[in-house]
Amino acid sequence: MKQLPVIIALLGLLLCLVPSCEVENCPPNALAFAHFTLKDGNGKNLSFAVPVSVIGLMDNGGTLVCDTLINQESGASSFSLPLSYADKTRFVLVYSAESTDTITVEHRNIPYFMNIDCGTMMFYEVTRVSTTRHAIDSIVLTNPNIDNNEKENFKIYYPPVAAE
Amino acid sequence: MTTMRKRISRFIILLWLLSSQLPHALAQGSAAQKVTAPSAADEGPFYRGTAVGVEIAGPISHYILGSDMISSEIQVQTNLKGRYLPVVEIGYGKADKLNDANDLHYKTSAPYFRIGMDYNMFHKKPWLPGYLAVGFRYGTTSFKYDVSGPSMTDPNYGGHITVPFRYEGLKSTASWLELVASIKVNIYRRFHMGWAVRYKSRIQVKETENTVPWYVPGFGKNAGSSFTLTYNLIYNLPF
Repeated sequence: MKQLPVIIALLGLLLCLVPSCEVENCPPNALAFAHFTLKDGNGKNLSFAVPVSVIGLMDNGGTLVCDTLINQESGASSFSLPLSYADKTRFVLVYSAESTDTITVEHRNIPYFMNIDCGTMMFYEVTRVSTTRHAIDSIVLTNPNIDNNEKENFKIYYPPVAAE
Repeated sequence: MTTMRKRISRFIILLWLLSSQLPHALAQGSAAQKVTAPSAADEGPFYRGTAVGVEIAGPISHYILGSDMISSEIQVQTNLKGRYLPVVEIGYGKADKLNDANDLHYKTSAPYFRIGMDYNMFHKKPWLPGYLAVGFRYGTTSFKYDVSGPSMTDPNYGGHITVPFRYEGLKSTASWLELVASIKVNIYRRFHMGWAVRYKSRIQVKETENTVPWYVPGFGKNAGSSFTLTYNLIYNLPF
């Protein structure tokens, strides 16, 4: 029974570790954004040469709600935009007063709970995406799941002249 | 930080409660040592009895320390050759937690089941009043849970749309492995007490599209791994 004090001490030491194992693991970012990257026709990265604004539009039962999400940003090769809690969100890319493109994203909203200490989050599954083709050549959905992991969801393809 | 201090305090109090009974148990043990003659470890019958234990640290933590979670279990353990101790544990875990900071509410209650075996590290010293054992468990549970909270308001687009957040009767299953270090000490005749530190490692917890179970009966808070303490009052059956 000589070992008993040693054993009790070891058990006590293990108990001291218990609180350190219970640190809450909340994600640093509780917001989910749709991530867009800009590409040329060859798949190479592009960046806007001119300042670009992005306006989000949501149809709320017949009333159009708009929110300026990016204001006159230049040099961006990618951007992140929040979707609305409606089932369709439109993003108007304003290159100039005369030149715009509208990207329409249809999505399923997924309220999400992962921890009682972290609150709730809204994730999305993109069901359809379309775009006008004034400056944009095409848009490709690369990952339909939009959550708080920062990963690319869309590739926007431009003819080289339009973006650079 | 306050939550951490509260938890540390809880464990200190719990440890004190358990440790306070140790001197009495050791005294009983010394007496037993004098009357019991040493014997060879592997002599004697293959089957050496069955013990039934009830876990009480969970109820103490819940009723005295005010924990939002309660878990207790019955343990049936067989002694084979004084060395191998196969064990079955059937318990019930419950959580009813409201987070005052964000009004999220999580509720679940369900039975759980564990099976495993301990190995008596002191099997060569059967005259001792207690022993240290190390072992493992495989645990599993099937449970339903409810999660609810305030309606979610769109942080953008003028905040015109709100979405209710209430999910009830969500079904889940979970399984996990435990490494167990335990002590069993005789306190009076056939009555023993035993306490164990368990390192739990999650194998799987079934999630839904909208939720991750926050508390898993028998496992505790849903994380990759955790430590827990159990304290059993044990009765050695007379057969």
